[in-house]
Amino acid sequence: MANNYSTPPSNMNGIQRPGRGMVVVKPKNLKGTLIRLWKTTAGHRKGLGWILLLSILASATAILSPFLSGKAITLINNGDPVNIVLLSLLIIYISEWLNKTLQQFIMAKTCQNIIHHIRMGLIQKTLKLPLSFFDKHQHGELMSRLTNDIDNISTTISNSLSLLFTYFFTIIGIFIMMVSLNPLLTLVSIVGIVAIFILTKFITSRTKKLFKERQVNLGALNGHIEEGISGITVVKAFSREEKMQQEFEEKNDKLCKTSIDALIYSGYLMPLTNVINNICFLLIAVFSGIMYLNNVFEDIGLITTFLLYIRQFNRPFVEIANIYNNFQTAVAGAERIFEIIDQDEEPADAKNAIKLENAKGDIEFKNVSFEYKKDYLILDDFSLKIKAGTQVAIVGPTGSGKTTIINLLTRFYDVTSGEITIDGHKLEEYTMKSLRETFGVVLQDSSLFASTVKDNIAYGHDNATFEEIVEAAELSGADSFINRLENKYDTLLEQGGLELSQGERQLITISRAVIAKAPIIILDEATSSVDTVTEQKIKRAMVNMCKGKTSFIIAHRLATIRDSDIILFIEKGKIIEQGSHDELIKLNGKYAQLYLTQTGAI
Amino acid sequence: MKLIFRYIQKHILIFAFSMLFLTMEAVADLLQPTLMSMIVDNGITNADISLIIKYGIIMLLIAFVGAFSAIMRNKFASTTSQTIAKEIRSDLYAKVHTLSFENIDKLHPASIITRMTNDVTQVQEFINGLMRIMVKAPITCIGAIVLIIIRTPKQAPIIAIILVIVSILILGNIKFGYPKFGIVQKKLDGLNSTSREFLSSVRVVKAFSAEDAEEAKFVESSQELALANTEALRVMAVFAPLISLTVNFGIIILLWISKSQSSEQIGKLMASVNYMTQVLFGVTMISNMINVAVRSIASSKRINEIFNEKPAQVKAENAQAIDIHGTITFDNVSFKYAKSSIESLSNITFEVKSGSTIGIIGPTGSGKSTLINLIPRFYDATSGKVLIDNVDVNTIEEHCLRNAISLVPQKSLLFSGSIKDNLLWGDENATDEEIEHVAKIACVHDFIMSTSDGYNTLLGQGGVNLSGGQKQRLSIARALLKKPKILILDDCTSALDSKTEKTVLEGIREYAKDATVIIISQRISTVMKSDSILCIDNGEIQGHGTHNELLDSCATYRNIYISQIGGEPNGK
Repeated sequence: MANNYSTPPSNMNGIQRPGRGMVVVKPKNLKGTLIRLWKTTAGHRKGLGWILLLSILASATAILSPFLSGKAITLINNGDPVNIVLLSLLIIYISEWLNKTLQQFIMAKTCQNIIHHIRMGLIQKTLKLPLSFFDKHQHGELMSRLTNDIDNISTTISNSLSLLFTYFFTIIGIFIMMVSLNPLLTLVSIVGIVAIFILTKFITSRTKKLFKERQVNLGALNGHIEEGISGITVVKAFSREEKMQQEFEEKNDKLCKTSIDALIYSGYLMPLTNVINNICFLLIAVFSGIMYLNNVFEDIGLITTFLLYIRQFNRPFVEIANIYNNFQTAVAGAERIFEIIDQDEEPADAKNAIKLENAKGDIEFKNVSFEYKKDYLILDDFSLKIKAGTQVAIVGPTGSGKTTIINLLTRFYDVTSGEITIDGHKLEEYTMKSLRETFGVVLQDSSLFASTVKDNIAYGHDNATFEEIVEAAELSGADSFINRLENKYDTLLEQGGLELSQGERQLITISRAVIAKAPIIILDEATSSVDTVTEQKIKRAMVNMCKGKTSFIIAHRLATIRDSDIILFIEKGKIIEQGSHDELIKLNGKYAQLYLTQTGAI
Repeated sequence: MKLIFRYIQKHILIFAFSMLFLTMEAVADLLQPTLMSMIVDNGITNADISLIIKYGIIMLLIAFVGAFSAIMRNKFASTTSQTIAKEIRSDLYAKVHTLSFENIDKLHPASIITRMTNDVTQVQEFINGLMRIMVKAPITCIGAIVLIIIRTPKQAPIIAIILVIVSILILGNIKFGYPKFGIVQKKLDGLNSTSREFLSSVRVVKAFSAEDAEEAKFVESSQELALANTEALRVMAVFAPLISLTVNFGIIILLWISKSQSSEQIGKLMASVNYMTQVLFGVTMISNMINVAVRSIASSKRINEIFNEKPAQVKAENAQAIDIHGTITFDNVSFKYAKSSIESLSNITFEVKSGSTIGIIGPTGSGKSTLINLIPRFYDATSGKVLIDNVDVNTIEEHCLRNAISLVPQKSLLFSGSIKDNLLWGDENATDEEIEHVAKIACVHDFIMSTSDGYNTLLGQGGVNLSGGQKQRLSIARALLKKPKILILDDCTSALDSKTEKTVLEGIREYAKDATVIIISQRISTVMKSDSILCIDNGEIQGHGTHNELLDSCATYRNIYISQIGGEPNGK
C-alpha cells in the first residue's frame, strides 16, 4: 500500500515542472506530434520496451499489495497462520522495489539518450539554416528551444509516460479486483470519483483564467525589472528613481493580488477532494460494516483491502488530469522544436556543382534585385563589373544596401532576380562550401569564441600549423599585442574576447581572414567602432591582406577608403556615383559633399 | 535564511494563524485512522451499527474541520508568501536605486535582474512550502509515530529502527545526489553558452564554413549533459525506491508482530498500517522540502548580497540645493575604478565656463566617458575635486545636481511605452509643441511622423524596433527636453551620417545657448567647432585649446587629425 506515495518526488531532479493550475499550452496537433516524436526516436528506443513491461509489473504489485495486506489482516483476525501471506507480501514489496529501481535506472539512460538525439537533430538542423532565419528570430527564443523545450520533453514526457502507463494499468486492475470483491462497494467509490471529477472541472475552469492573468502580470513585472535595471544609468541621470519605483509598485501589487487570488481559489481543490474522499471512506466503512454484520461476507480483511483500494483508485484520477496537462505543455514544446526542423535549409548544391578553387576574382552583378520582404526592395536592378584584383569601396547612408551586396555575394541570401557571377560562373553553380571558402570576411562585430587566441585565429582551418597562425598574426599586426598576453597564442579568451579591446579583437578577426588565404577579401565596417590609432593599424593590415586580390571594403569613415581603386556611392539600392576618390571629388556630387562634411570643411 | 525569517517576522500574526490551521489540518488527518480503527474494533466487532454511524459522523465532522483548516491555511499561506515576495522585490528595487554605479558594476546588472526575478520566486516557493507542507510533514510524521507507540507500545522499537534507516537514506540521497545535480547545472550552463556563442557568431560560422567544428562542440556539450543527467537520475533511482521499501518492510513487520494479536485489536492494526503510510508520506515530503530549502538558502544569500551592499557614495550631510549656472571645474582629479589597479584618470585639471562648448576627443579607453561620469556624480573622484559654479559636486543635493545635467549616453536606452512617454522623461510637464520642437532639433520628427501612430507609437522593450540612429536621435531629444544647464553628449551621434550629425549639433547649439555643452567624440569633425577641445589619452590631458591651437601644440591631436582627414593640417 505504500505505493501510494512512493512515486519519485517530482522536484528532486532540480527542474521545476509546471504544477497544478499552471498555464497549460495546448499542442496544435497532439496525435501528429506524438507520432512524429516517436519516429524521431528511431534507433534510440532500446529500453523503452523494458520500461513498458516494468510499468505493467509495477501496476501488478500496486494491485496485489493491498489485497495481500487485507488478506493478512483477515488471517490475523481469524487467528490463522499468516506466514505465507506475509511472505508473499514481502516478495511483492521486494519485487516492487527491484522493479522501480530498475525502471528508473533504465529510464535515466534511455531518456537521456533520446533527448541527446533530439537535441542533436535540432542542432544539426539549426546549423544548416540560412542566415535569414537567424535575422528573423530572437536569440533568446532559439535558446529556449534548445534547452527549455527539450528539457520539458525529457522530464515531462518520460515521467508522465511511465506514470500514465502505471496509473492506467492500476486503475483497470483495481477496478477488476474491486468489482470481483464487492460490486456494491465499488459503486460507492465510483460515485466518489465522479464527484471529485466534477469538483476539479469546476475549480480549474475558474483558476485557469486567474493563472493566465498571473502569467501576464509576472511578464509585465519582469519586463519592468529588466528595463529598469539595465537602463539604470538613464534612470539615475533623469532622476526617475521615484517614478520608476512607483510604476514598479503598481505592477508588483497587481501581480501579488492575482497570485493570491489564483492560489486561494486553486487551494480549494485539495481539501474539498479530501472531504469527498473521507465521505467515500466513511460510506464504505458503514456499508461494509453493515454487510459484515449481516454476513454478506465473512472476510473482515476485505474492509481493509477495500479501504486501501479506494485510496489507490481515487488518487490516479486526480493525478492523471495534472499529468495530462504537463504532457500537453511538453508536446507543445515538441511542436515548437519541429517548427524549426521544418524550416527550409540553405539550398543544397546543384547536382553538377563545381568547386570554386583559386578564384581569379572577376565578379559581375547583372541586374540584381533583392527584397527581404515582399515589395520591399533593398537592391534595385543593380549591375556592376569588377576585374580581378580591384579594390572596391562601398559607401552610402545606413540602410542603402551596402551589406546586402556582401550578403548576396557570399550567398547568405539569394538574389530575388538577376544573377551574380564569379570568374564567369553563376554563384549557384559552385558548391556552397567552396564558394564561402573563397571569401576572407571581416565583419563589424568581431565575434570571437571562448577558446585560445590560437584557435580563434585558426577558426575554420583546423589543420593550420602554428607557423601559419603566427604568420597570419604578423601580417595583420596582431602579433605584437598577442605576444604581450600572459600565455601568448595559448591565452584562453574566457569571456569570448571581451577581455581584449575592440581593436585587438578586430585584429584577431583580420588574422582569421588572412589565414584563410582567400582570393577575395570582404571588410564590412571593420573599423567603424575602433579609435583612430587602432584604425591606422587595421588599415595597414588591410593593405597587406588585400594586395593583388579582389576586395570589398564597406566603411563609414572615408579616410579608410580613399585609396581604393573604385568607390561606389550607394543610395536606396542603386549606385549613384562611381569612380576613384579624385574623380568623385571632381564630380562634386554626393560623395564630395559627404567627404567635405566629414573633414569639417563645411 | 535570516532574510526569510526577517520578512516572516513582519507577518508573524498571519504566520501564526497559518501554523494554527496547519496544525489543525494535520491533527484532523491524524485522527482519521484512529477513528477508523474505532469503527472497526468497537463498531464492527461488536456489531453496533449506531456506534459505527456515531463514529462515522465524528469522522466526517473532523474531515470538515480539516478541510476548513486547509482552506484557511491555504489562504493565509498564499497571502503571506506572495506578500513577502512582493515586499522583498520592492525593497530590492528601492535598494538598487540607492546604490551607485560602482556597486552596480560590481554586482552586474544581469545578475541583479536574476536575483530580483528567479531568486525571489525561489524564496517565495520556500515560504509557501514552509507554510503548507514543511511544518505539516513533521507534525504528521511525529504525530503518526506517537499514535502508533501510544496505541501499540510493542511496535515502538521497530518504528524507531525504520525511522533511523529512512533518515540515513534521505541523508544519503542528499549527500550523493546534490553534487550530481550541481554537475548537471554546470553542464547545462555549458550547453547554453555554446548555443549563445553560436547564435551570436552565426555569420562567422557560415562565412568560414565551420559548421562541422560547431557541431562537434555541440555534440560534446550535449553528450556531457546527457551523461551528467543520467548519473544524477540514477542516484535517485537507487534511493527513492529504497525509502519506500524500508517503510513497506515496516508494515510487514507490524503485521508479523501482530499475528498473535486478539481479534479486538484488528482496527488498531489497520490504523498502524495506515499511520505507517502517513509517515512515509511525511518523510518523502521532508526530503523534497530539504531540496527546496537548500535552493532557497542559496537564493536568499544572493538576495542578501544586494541588501548588504553598502552604497559606495556617501550622501553629504549638509547637501545644498544651489542654482546651477554651469561652470564646470576639474581640480587635479584622479579616478580609479574599484576593480582596477591603474588610474583611469590622472591629475585632470580644466575649466569650462558656463554657456560655452567643449569637445573631448581621444582613443577608446582613454577615459573620456569616465571623465564626464564624474560630473553628475555617477562615480566620485578618487582624489581631487569636481566643482560646479565653484561648489564641490559632492556637497550638492543629488536631485538638484542631476536635474541640471542632461546626459546622452553612448548606448541609447529607451523604455517600453510610447515615443512621447520616452521623451517626457526629460520633462513631465512638457507641452506637445515643446516635444515636437526638440524632436525637430534632433532630426527625428520626420521619422516619428512616418511611424503608424506618430508620437504615440509604442516602442518595444529597450526600443528594440528602432535602428541605432533612431534611438540616438530620440535620446538626444529626450535630453534636450530637460532644458539642462549642462548638456553632455557622450559619443551619441556615432550612428548618424555626417550630414545629419552636423544639422543636429547646430540645432543643439542654437537651442541650448546658455547651457554648457560637452561633446565627446572620436570624430574630429564633430568636435572641431567647439569653443575649446580637450584631447585625452591614457587618462591624461594631452592638450586643451581651440582646434588651431591644438594642431600646433598637441601631437596626439595632430595624429588623429591626419588619420581621419588626411593630408597636411595646414593644407586646406
